[in-house]
Amino acid sequence: MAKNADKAKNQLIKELEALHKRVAELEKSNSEIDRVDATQLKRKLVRSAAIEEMPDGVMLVDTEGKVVYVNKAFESLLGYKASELVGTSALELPTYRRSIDKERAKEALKEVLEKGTSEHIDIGAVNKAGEEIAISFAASVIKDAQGIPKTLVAVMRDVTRRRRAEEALRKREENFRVLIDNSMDISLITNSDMTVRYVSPSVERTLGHRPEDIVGKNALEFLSPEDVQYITANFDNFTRNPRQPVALEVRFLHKDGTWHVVEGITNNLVDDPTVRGFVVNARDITERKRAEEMLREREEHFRALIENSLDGIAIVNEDLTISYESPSAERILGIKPEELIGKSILDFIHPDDKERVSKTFKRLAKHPAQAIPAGIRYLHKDGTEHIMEGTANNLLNNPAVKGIVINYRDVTERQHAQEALKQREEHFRVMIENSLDDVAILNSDGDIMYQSPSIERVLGYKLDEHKGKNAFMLIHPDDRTYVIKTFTELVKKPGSTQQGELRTQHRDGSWRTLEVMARNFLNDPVVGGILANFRDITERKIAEQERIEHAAAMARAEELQLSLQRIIVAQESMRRDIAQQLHGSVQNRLIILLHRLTELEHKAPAGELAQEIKDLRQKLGELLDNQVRPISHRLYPSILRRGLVAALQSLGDQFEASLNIEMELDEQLKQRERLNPQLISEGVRLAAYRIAEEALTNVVKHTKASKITIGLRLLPEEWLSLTLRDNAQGFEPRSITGGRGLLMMQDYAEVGGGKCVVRSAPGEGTEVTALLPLSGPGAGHPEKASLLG
Amino acid sequence: MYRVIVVDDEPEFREWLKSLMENSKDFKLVGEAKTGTEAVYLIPSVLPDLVIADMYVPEPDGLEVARYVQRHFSGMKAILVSAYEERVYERLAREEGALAFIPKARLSLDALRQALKGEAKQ
Repeated sequence: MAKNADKAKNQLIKELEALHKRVAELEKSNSEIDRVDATQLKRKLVRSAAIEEMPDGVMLVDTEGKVVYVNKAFESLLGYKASELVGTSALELPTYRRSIDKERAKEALKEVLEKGTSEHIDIGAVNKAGEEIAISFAASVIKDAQGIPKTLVAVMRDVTRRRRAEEALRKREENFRVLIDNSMDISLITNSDMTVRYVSPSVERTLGHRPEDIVGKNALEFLSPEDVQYITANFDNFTRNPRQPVALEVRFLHKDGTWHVVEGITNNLVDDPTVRGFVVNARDITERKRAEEMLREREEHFRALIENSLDGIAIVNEDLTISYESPSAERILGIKPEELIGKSILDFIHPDDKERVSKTFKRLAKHPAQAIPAGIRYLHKDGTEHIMEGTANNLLNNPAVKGIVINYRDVTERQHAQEALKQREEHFRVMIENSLDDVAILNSDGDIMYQSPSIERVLGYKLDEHKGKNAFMLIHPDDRTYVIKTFTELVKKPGSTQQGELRTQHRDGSWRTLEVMARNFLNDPVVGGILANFRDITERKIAEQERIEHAAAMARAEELQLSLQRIIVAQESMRRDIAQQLHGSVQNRLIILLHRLTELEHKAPAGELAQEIKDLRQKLGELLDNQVRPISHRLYPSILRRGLVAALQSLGDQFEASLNIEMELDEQLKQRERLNPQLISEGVRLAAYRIAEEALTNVVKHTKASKITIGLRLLPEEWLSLTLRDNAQGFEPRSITGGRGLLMMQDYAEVGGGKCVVRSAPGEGTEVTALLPLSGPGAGHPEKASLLG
Repeated sequence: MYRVIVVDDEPEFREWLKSLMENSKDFKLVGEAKTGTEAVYLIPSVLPDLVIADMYVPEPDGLEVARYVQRHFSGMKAILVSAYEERVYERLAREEGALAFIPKARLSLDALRQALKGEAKQ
């Protein structure tokens, strides 16, 4: 701009000089005419586009100091019309800002007049609108041929914008300088090969090196290998654009051997003839870096803390709109933090709890901190109802926050767990209090932590008399090893159960047997120990023992009974065999002998021999009748082979002499037995026969009965009943209990697989009834016995 | 003359009865059986007038033999004998249609005649 202005000025001057020369020549030849011509020429001149249309303002001042001309640019520059300025003294123009500017203009004018030209002069001016503008102008003097100054030409332009730009630049430079001075500790200038030419003394303070240690060395020597590598690799990039500052952060070796982080701005002034190198302004930022790192770490830490916090953090405005939400909101509420911002927290609170929350926050205005009411319910995005707890802090006056900070957390599960816990506590309490069993809670060492009050009833000890003592000490020494072993296993497995019996001493010194069921509740927050339910089963044990003994006795009795029956059967079998032998071999032979003797007696001549034979025959007959046959019969009644009916008839025949015997025999049975004497099993026949025989014998021997009725009936399902009823005086049933006769009858009945009972009452006679199965023992058991009542 | 079969498992009794009838003019032993089964086969082939059977010969026993005779052979007589003397045998024998029951100790040709005569009387 300035150059252009100079060129325009010089061109103008030349043109004017040329015109002046012409005017002078004309004036020489014809003063009068030429003067007119000259004036016309001037007029022509000024009208010429060259001056009129110049972008710079042009002002012509005559030798008397009066403005003779201003061009259009001048008019627009200062806002005045040419008519308002032409004719005015150049030093009286209304555009001077203040007197000092007028003084400078006067001096400049004098200088121009003396020297013929002037340097650029910057002055302030005020345009017609009253606005201050900066003007830069240069002036020249146009002389005539004789060298006498004729006109002064001033060319000027508005430099307000430039001025402002320059001012801004200056200010920026100032700032930059201040910045450099205050923050950039080290200034370093290197040659283009990086050899240090200058370093500010501050380097010693920051990096320990004295400037003379560095100057002359290559700057790269002091940098870390990584930085050297980086700079070398990117050297072309740094140097490609001269004067383009490059920011670098490098590690610089401190004199003490530690690496310091240095931040610097490098200006490539290699092509600047005054520098021919790099200018580096740098500072040690190690501490800052460390602080930054710490800060970053702390920020990171807090950020992580907040973001990963189980708690949600919200900042709300006074009107409860959310201005911040921590990321954990998504986990707690199911809603992304950004979705929450701007909304009222009440939007998320359960309708029933909204009022409580509102009130709390109203109170919060008066108190710096306030707990959120317990059990506030809020709605999770998934529609479920959750329970929240937390605190709110009024930090509305804290400029950094300007809000209420809410720390909250979801306690739904905890709440549920607590409720479950409460229920379980109640459950256990009810269980323990209503348990028929006694309850103790032991710790893992077996120390008694709790005992139900019933302990006094069970073991005679006062409640808590044993509390804190070791339970094992109360256990019978013989049981202790087993109990401790079982307890140790129980303690190992939470939730497991052990059961057993043990003996413990009652306060009165007696040993009591306890049935114990223990469960490991060590991990249970309610019980926190081994829960032992126990009850005294001493009585039960005794009863059990008695029952066992009784059963054993019964078994022994049964065994005895079976043995007895076997004995009876064996005995009967033997008796039958002997009887048959007696009958078959002995008796038959004796009978034959008897017959032979009879024959001999008849053949022998009468006399002594015949008499002897007769005696012998009689003796043998007596032996047969009185000894052999009865013995045989007693041993085994052969008639049984013909059936029970026949045997009973025979029996009746035997007792006919002493008793009036009435036979009531089942006709059907009689017929069936006639055709099949084996209808009734041999054992049953024998049993029935022996029972009847015993009954008849008893009646004859022990009563004054005159009559006896023998009844034999066939019962359904091939059972039979034998009844012997006498008409004697009868007796108290007890008096015969266990009597030998009765026992014998019962034994026989059992051998036959049936039962036998005797009923008697004073004045009503005696009735013996035997119930027997036709087929004998094993053919179904005597449910028929119920018929006996 | 009565043709007689004896049914008894005791050989001595059979021998004695045989000898008893050897000299008799009205009784002749024409057959012997040791068991009821033998008797049941012998009787149809011999067709005796009188069967003397021990009450307890092996099966079928004397009573059954008597029943057999009574049922199948008209006019043939059966007399049951036994070393036992219980009265019940008489009853049993009669029930089966036997002519008589005679305890062996009292058995004789006269006793047989008596029984047969008693029957004849009736």
